[in-house]
Amino acid sequence: MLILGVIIPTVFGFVISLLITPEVRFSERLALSYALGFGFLTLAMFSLNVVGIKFSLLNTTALICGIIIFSLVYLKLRGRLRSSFLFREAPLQKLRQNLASLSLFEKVIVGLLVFFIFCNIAIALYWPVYWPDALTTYDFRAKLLAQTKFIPDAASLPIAFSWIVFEYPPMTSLVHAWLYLWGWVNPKVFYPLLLISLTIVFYWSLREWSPRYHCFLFTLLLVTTGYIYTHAACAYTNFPFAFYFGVGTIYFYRWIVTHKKGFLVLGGTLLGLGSWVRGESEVFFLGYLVILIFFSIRRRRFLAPLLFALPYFLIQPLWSAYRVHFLNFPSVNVLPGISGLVTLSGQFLNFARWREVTGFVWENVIVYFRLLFFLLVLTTVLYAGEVRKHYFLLLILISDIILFIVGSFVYSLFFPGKWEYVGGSSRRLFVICLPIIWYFIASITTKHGFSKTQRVAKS
Amino acid sequence: MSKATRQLISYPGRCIRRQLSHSSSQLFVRIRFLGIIAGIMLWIATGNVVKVTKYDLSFLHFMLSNFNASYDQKMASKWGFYNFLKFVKDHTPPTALIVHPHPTGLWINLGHELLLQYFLYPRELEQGPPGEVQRSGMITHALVAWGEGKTQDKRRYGWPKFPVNVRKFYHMPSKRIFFLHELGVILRDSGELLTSSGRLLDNYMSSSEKEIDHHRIVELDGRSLEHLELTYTQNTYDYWTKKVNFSLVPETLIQVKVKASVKHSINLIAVVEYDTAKIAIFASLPNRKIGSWESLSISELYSKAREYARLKGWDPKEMRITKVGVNTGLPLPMPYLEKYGVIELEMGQERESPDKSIDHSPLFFSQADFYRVKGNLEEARVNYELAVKLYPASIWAHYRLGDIYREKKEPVKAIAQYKKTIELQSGISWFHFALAEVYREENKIDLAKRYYTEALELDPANYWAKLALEAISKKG
Repeated sequence: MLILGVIIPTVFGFVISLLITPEVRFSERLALSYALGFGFLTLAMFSLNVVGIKFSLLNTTALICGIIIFSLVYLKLRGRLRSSFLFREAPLQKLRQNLASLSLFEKVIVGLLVFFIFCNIAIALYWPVYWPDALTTYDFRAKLLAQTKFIPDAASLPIAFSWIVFEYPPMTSLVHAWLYLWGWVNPKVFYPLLLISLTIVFYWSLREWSPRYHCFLFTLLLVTTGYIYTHAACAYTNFPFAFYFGVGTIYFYRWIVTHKKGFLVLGGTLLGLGSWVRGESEVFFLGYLVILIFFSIRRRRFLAPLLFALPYFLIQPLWSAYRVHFLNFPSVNVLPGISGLVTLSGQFLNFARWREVTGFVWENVIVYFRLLFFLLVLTTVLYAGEVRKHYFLLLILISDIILFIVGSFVYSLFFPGKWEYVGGSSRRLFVICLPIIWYFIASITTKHGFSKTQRVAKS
Repeated sequence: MSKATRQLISYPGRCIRRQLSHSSSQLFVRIRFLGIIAGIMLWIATGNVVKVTKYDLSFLHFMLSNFNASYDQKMASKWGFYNFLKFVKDHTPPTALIVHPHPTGLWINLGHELLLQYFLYPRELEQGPPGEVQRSGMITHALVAWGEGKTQDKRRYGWPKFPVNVRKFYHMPSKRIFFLHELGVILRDSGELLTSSGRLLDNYMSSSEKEIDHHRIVELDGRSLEHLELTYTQNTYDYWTKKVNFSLVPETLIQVKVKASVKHSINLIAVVEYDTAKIAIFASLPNRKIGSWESLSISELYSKAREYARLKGWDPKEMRITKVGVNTGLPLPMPYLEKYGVIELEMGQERESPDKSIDHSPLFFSQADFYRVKGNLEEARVNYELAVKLYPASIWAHYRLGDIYREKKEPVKAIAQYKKTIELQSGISWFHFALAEVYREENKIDLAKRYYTEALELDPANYWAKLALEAISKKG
């Protein structure tokens, strides 16, 4: 029974992935299915509450099954449902062949990846939720949600600081609640499985233009990056946010390269799900939108911004609107921020503050990830020729870093006296950029000078 | 030379230059690859792998050695106070409203409302003094927390350091070890011990939750000693007695020699039966030493018993000592000295009618607290007075009497009671503060300042004493 709690959302995600994009490999689709499935599952639970129905196991499963059946019928009618999506020919034999074809170097890396992911699962499953914020906010809220199965009921319980407990977007809490309802004692199983998804998606995204050993090496580098690995074994929102944001960005970039429409929708959807995990994605998304508009005008793809922005803006405002209209909590959405920004606009020329904020980002983020930044600069300089091929990815990365600094500056205006003390939070937020930075470095360093035999996978 | 000829001559050179340029480009690409991919990337990957392995090992070590650990064990290994909060949860009803310390200093975690909420839900929480306490009239329980971490100034440990209406105090298991010797009745003239400790004591009456770890006779230095090892989680009183049968005469002296592991944890008791079958239990001062022998005795028992009979309207003609023993469940002077626990507050709530057939100090003290909370100060005063008659060292009965007299605008009596409290237990900041307050009300500023200062010396975090001293110095 426990396993159904994981399988049902994955099946749901599989069907959604078929609706969004038919152009990915089976293993990549499976990895995407898990992430999409849990994202949309929580949206389904939320939707049930919006129409006044409790998200009990029965109600939620019935809704999901309904959507799955309708989607499959739709796909069948459109001729987009092929058995190859579901049933692979002798998958074990293929896996064995693939493993046999690995070089020693690749085998070592794959072995390390499997070992670390196994350890991560073991740690996550063994240890209950115990990190402070995970306890006090996300998991506590999940327990209230599992108890009441109705967000307004949970929010009206006599608890301390309910506006804080119910401030952040609800995705991870709803995931915990769902797993609790299925009888899981430890809902942390969600996170290491998401790490597996990240591993697979990152590998295949890179495999578009890189040789196999190169993809394995960079996947290992990403997975073993401290903040990614450790946060995948705890129940903070940083890792899921980094996953949805990072993977969304990668698909957005893959659309720029391949023009496969599904990737663009997938990018927007995953970024939207990122905003369903944490509320800081808006500013970065607007940066992407500017890049996309610039790109669309040059390539005469005028509908692209709409395709990208629509799924994002269908998901992003849900929680803040719900908090205000259904839970009667004060608004924390972007609008008061804009009015506040107008009030504080005079401060934008405060160069002393800019210097302080830049120093803050330097000390707390860049110095901490100094090796990665050093590598980023070095490879950008040495592989200038390759950077030209991926300059949109560089643009995306630069936009993220600039907007991160701008966001820190705006935060410093809103929270004077407090912003200097959130170095740790700032660093944790920066985790969203790590998959993108590694993806960029991996992409530009693909050409190694022994290229006569290097092969890339067929898309 | 024609253009065609010039081109023909320069052709080999151009080819060589192009070839050289291609080779150097290839060389650059290969060096770049070796430097970046094979060098830096593998270096970073190795670093990551080492770090992640260390991280894994830090968890795996515990996991492998505690493979079947329960949720509680795992959480206790991560949160030092987990077992305490579980204890609180086990000893409070789900409807409890618990007051807790501020999330500062030594209570940064144990005062953190969101953290407490996770572990204690659905119990509700309220931040305690100093500062205004919301819903103060509805609070049912108080957390008792020694404080985490280390501080140079040990006086800062302990919360709450202000009086709390204790109905029952459940604390984390605390062990008390006692050795008893020569428990008995002595006729003062002859000095003869009329009973010996040859037989084990019986657990006569008790309001406690405990584990009896050991209760036996041990031989030490050629002497037979009674050894009691008890682990309490709640102790209002716990009487261990043996039967005797002596007429109570003016020369009668009850005594015992004790060696205790905890200061203020045991006292001597004597059960006196009157002619009318009325029974009262008299108690001695508590032990003052840790780990060394001391004698406890009830002085002037005869006159005390007569005085008590007079107060109660009983006939003191025929008084007999029917039991002698010890109270091993004596509460410590302040709850925080037990370090961690939870207090169920006396709110005047309904209670099972207590057994009133035997008069003893904890019974009257509890009744007095009940009446005081109900606002019946006179009845409370009478009960506190009776409690003091049976156990003159009852610090909190004296303190509460001081409070009642202060409320009744009888400062002289209040001062006397507070002074008695300080005499019995000089190390509690709040008693000095209370005395200072009466002096301030009486406009005896110098005395008030003296006692406020003493209060602050005993507890540098005594917010109220600090405020009062500031107010006095402002007034000049």
